[in-house]
Amino acid sequence: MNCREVRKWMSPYLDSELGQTKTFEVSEHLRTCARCAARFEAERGVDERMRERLAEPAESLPADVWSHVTRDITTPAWLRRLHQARAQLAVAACVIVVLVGAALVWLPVPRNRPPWVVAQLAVEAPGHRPFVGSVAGSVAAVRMLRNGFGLQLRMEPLVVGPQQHYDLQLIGAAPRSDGHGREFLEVRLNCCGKPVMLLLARLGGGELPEPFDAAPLGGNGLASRLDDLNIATMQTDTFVALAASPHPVGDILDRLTAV
Amino acid sequence: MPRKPTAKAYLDLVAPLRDVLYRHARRTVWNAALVDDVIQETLLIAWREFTRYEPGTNFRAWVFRILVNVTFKFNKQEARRHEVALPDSATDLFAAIEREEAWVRLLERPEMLMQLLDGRLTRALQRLGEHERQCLLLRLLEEFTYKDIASMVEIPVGTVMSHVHRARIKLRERLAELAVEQGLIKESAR
Repeated sequence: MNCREVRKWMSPYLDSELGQTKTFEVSEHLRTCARCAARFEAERGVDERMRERLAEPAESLPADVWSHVTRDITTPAWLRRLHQARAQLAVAACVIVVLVGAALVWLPVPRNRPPWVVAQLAVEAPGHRPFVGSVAGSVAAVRMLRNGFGLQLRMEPLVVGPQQHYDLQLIGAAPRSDGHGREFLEVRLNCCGKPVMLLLARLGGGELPEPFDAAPLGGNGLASRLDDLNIATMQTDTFVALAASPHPVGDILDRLTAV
Repeated sequence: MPRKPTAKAYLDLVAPLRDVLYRHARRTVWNAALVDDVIQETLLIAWREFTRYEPGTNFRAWVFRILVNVTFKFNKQEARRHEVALPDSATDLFAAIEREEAWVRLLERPEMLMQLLDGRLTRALQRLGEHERQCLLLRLLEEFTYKDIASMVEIPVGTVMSHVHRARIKLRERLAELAVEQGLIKESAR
């Protein structure tokens, strides 16, 4: 191996990365060639100096970088994700608060609609069409009101304005009882072509029949509108009455008078 | 069934290496402002991949491999961001031969050479191609074998040998240039 070839292998030789044969050849040449040996020693010195120079100054990883890494590694993944998403969560929480607030202000408050009355009207007067009935039915209704409750229902038209009056028509009545045997009377009327359901139950110390459960009782004679129905209730010492209709019902209960 | 590695086991292994990893990143990441990010990403990737590490094997080489890859990624992004070409790793061998004479004369004046190395080595290092710089530093400073470096940089062992060789020549060439520029030695007759 000549001087030029030896210099070609200088770098891997300095790194002790040459194969056995090549290492031997280079070593042999260096042993016999003083010029190359001096050159290689000088090159080795350069490498040493470079190593020292590059290792200095002793630099340490900044403490905040290391603490960030260790915190990230030791924190459970779900907590880390939660922490990373805290800004989005804060925004989501704000949106929810605003939406709930808006809902409380603007959305209609759930109100009670006597489910039995609603169901009965849906079946017997679908689409709020007037009840269909006969004269005989109205006669029976008058009798049941009188015998059962000592009441009569005044049927004359009610004038509510110069050109407007409520025209009431008695359709019929039927005694009913709820699933617990509690009895009440269902009276059907039409007012200005709209179905009106009038329920009456006697007060005897026990619980009221189910159709009165969800009704807004206590507001004597006061009507309240629940979605598409007007509801009015009346309570005396002896009976409770409930009127429900898409038509205003405030005056219906006023027409009940003792016989 | 293999046990899930604990954070403590990982931190016990990586903590003693944090400063050498940082030093290597300082020498190889182009944008000094990104060195902390490179280290952070390296350590977090190593933690995520820690299940793949085989206990008893060279952890230092394993984590350096991740560092080298993250560094390449960051440097590539940096080059793209600034629309600059990565340094060419091809060595101008003709120029190297031309300056060899100057280098030999510099070797004969060790005090001057050491002074030059102390003052200009870091800047001379920046003139190297990315692979050359990585390979040289992994060999010279971290003392990894060519085989380890080949695995880290994902190139053949022969290419590592070539990169280290060229890096050495380029550094020497640059130092000889500087010596001539500063009038420390006379320019060789061409």
